[in-house]
Amino acid sequence: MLTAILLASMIIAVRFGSIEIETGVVVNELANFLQGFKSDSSNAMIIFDIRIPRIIFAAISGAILSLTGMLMQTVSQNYLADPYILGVSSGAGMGAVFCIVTGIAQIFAPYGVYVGAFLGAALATIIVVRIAGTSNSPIKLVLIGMGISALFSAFTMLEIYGSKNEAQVRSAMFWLMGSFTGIRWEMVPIALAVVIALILFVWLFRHELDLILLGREEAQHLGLSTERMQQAVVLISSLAIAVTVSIAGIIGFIGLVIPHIARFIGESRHAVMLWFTSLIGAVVMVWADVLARAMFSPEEVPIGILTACLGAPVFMQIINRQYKNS
Amino acid sequence: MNIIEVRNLSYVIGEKKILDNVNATFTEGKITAIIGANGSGKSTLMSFLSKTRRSTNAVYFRGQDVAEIPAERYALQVSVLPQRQKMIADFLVEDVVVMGRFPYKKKFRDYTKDDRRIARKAMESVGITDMAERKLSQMSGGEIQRVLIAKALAQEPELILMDEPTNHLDVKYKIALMRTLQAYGKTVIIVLHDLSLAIQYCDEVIIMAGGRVLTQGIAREIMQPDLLEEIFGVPFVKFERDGRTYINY
Repeated sequence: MLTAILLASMIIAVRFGSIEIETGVVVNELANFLQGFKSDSSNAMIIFDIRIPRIIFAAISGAILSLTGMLMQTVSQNYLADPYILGVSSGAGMGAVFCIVTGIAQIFAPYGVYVGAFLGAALATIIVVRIAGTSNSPIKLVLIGMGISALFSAFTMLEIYGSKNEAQVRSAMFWLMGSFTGIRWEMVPIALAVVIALILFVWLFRHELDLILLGREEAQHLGLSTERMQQAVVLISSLAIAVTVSIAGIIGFIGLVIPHIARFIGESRHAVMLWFTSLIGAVVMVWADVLARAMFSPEEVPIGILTACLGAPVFMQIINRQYKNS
Repeated sequence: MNIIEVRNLSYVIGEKKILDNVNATFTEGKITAIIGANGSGKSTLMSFLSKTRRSTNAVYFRGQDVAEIPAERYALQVSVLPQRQKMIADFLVEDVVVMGRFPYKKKFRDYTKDDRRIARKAMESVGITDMAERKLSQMSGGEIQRVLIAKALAQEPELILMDEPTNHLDVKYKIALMRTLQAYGKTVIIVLHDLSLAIQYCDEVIIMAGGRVLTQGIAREIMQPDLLEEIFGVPFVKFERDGRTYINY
């Protein structure tokens, strides 16, 4: 059912943009394409070279961000955790910009930016984990994350302003607010690989993750090495965030909100959460991107602004509820 | 036969001796209560028995230093019910209880039909079968406690460690729990505040004070009013009625 919604959303989403293309035309072009021929019309070019890779990437990154948020929430046993709120995305942004500005990116080309983003994301995660430690206070973790986020965002700005070659770095807005502009087909496979790795990871360790969500101590008493699971999650989520941030910049709150929705309509077991989280994340991101393109068409709104508009109120609502309960 | 033994265990935080040269033995098949005032070291001793805190050459399970037993193997023998911690998970009751089968589960596989059957049996013995499909978020503290007790039983351990399991329970369920543990027939080590429960349902008792083991022995014999008064600072009375021993303050 959710898969059908996702596919339908993706087809409808092709319509929107600076030039609107009727869904009927889109379906025709797609049908032609599936039968083996691709027309040379400008519509076909927009559909196949610009819109479709962008929509596919949006869907994948929605799933990646949501799954990463879910993993972080499980491991920290804190439903406020999210790659953006914990500063991991900012860390990735800083790492990416650092590599571009210093030219290190060229050494590892074409993956230099990813390497930088990965190191930045891992650094941010390690700092959060180290400072927050085994603290049981959900708010403490969030506040430390905010501190790290502010720090790394400031570093990113410094790097950009200090950069001699402005052409090297994309705009500051891109790294702070995220955007799907300029997504090309080449970027899809790496994102696809990451989302498959994430799905596989969650599926294989679904029962281990359930135990951790029940309680770290409970999990240890059942013979599970929670530290090793935690390290694995840090590694795979840093990797996932590095890829999305390198390609699309920082997109906040998706990782926070989507797992909540998934838990609400599904259930807490990771075997179920996995599918609800990734599919809802994909659908929401596709529509958020449609909104970003259609709202002030032909101008585009950075996607991160929209996700923040939708996500920040939910974030505050969750804090409000958690404090009421405790 | 001793199932678990503590030899010369000391534990210091800063200047404070939390455990001071503790020696204790726990008899196989018996229910042993650990009692003592707040801060006497009961929970700390439990944390060493459960391997939550690490020790070397101090805690022996069937003659083997627990430091040498890997966690996943220890979990096949010992189940632990820690003091209640905050929980955010919102699983169904039956899904929580079956997690007790995790140590037996093959890697990457789901729980088997056998696991589900054993979990159901455990739920029956704690009287929560009718709650199987309820979510944890819709349950009271006492009900969740019973779910966790069922999970501990589903683990089919040789030794059950429980730290104040009766805290959130109504009197009815306190008694039911103690009877369930008696019926289970394996070794149980249980930290108890409720001295009446200790004397009625436990075979042996270890009395702790100031990080030391004051005395250890048969519950009915060593739980005497003058000793308890010395430990808890209030006078106690002990009396028998209809063949049962009661202790009260």
